[in-house]
Amino acid sequence: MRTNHKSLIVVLLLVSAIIISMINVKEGTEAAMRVAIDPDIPRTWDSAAMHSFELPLADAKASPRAVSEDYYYRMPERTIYKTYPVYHPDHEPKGYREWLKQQEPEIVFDAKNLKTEADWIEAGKLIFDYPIDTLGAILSQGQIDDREYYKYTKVRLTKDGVFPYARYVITKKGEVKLGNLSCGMCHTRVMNDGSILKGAQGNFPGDLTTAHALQNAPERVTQFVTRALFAAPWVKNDPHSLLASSSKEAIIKAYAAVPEGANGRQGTSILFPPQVPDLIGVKDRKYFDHGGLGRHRDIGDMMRYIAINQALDFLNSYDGYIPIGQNEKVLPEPGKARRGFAADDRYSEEQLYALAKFVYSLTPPVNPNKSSAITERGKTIFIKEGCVTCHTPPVFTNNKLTPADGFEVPEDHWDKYDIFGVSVGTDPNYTLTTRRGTGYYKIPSLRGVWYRGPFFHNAWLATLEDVFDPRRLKEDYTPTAFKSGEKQAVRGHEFGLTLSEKDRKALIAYLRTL
Amino acid sequence: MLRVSVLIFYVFILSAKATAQSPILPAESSIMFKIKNAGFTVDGSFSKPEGTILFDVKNLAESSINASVESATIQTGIERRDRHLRGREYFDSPKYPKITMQSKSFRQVSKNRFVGVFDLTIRDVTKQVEVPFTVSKKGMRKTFKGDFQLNRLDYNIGETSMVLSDDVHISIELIVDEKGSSAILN
Repeated sequence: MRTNHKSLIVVLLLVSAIIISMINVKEGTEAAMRVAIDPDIPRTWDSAAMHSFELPLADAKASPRAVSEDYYYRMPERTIYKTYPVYHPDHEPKGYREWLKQQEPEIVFDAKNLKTEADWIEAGKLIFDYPIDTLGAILSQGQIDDREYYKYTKVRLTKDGVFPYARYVITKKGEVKLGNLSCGMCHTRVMNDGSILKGAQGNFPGDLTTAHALQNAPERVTQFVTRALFAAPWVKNDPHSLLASSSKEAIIKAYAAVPEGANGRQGTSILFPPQVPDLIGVKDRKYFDHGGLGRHRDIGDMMRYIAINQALDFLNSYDGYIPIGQNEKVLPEPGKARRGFAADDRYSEEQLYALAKFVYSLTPPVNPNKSSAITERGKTIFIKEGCVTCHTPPVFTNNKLTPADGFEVPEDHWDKYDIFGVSVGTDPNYTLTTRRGTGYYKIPSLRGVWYRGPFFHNAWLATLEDVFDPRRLKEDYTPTAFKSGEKQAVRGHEFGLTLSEKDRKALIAYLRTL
Repeated sequence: MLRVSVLIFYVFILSAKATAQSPILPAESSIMFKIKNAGFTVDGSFSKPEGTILFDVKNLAESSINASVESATIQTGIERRDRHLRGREYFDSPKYPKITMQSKSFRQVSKNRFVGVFDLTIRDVTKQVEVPFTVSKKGMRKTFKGDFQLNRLDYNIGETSMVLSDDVHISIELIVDEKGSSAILN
């Protein structure tokens, strides 16, 4: 009995020591965040760094040439004002708009006030949600006020009725503008319980919103916008140029087909729409974009990627083709780019640094899926089926690029990039026919698949069960998320399709614990 | 004269015995390997090894085992993985189609147990390996069974990995039928 007591005391002491050490680590981390820092902020548009930042495109001669360092730094910097939430018409507090009109504009980002790591991250969060467009690039005030818009798009709201993908901006007292194109517009996920997950694979139905907006637009506007967003005229029989010259109805149909969780942002596609990337954990990944277009060597690359995506790649030259250039050929003066594309100004270096810090700080929510005998069985299957080779713990990606079918790896790439030299046979169109297509696909991390979806780079499959459903290989299959309009097989990544039902369930249960 | 003729005859017989090469039977021979991946063992194989064996217990100095196998025959049970293994990062089969083993010397450790020193060539790397093996005979068939371990990184097979072990365990079983032997006089 005394021995049992002794054992109990030893166990209690050990547990106490572990808890105390965990508290110390947490407190230590929090204390470190409060220490004043003097950050060494990289130069974003450094010519040498920019030159080696992106991979060449699948057709190397059309590889993007970004604007020059001189051009970039002659563009005006963005000013970050305080923003305010947007509500569904039935949830907006009474008198809210009038109250907004009484508010003074307030500049909320000033690098001089940022002393600690925590300050920089908090400031980055403001920029993450700061709209870089107030002209209605995707979403208009008319749509926000129109209940039919919500029915058409089935857009998700928070449990308080907030529309979390946009914010109101006040840059002048009395003028309340609906803001678009914040990072948060695409990288905010409303969970099933109405809570919000920042940085996750977002679920704003952006292309459905565009489809809704274009219903009242002239056909030529519909065509112009689609061409500026997606055309890749050097591609043989470019499907995006073809789409952009189609009828308004055909174009709207293509936008409307893109499901939530996928997004045809500029340079990508609505014909092969990419999954919205999950930014949580991006610090551990070596490439950006589904095609691995951008390299991630340090925080400077993170800043470059943000600057390019928000939205300087509209000014890239692709073998002479400049998407929003004059006559698609001539670069406009710095700061004078066609309005509505957010390419007429830029983030400051400090803003980009803060934003990158915020993105790096994102952490996943507490996973409700706990380990069990079934998940342990699933883990064994995960290893034995060879999943672990590409989806290597602890990041659950080996951070490599796989060539798509139809792309021959150029000799010099083997030493320059991280190549996993076999295709997994998924649809090659995104990476062979878009302005961001390198010929490769990035091997994705499986971290957080429990809160994400749809899956595969073109967002065909709504659930993990669909990913492991062998019926998806048949021609008469109807994809469960992105549907291009016809029945079609979802080929490639044919791992785990021959597992027994019991093993398949165990594997999926394990994946949901990651 | 007769004594000289008898002597020449014996020399001829001994010489013929020592140099009788038997072709390896590809379909009946096997090369298996095991490697740990994330703590679990992956089994794989190469198929249809070829070559010749000339093995005389009483004349190890003149004995030889020369075998080769096509690297593209690798199989691990997952077709996409096999395709990857045939590629440039692993065996690069189009460029280095053959894996070869050529004996350099043998020593006997017990009645049927031997150790051979071989030049093992994978890709463009040749290294010496020691392979303990047994020899058994049933009728005219001889079976050579050996096991050894190598570090795949020594042969530029893949790269350092957090999950894939460097060490690979190889098991070789080569079968010859001495009916098919060819005597070489030299």
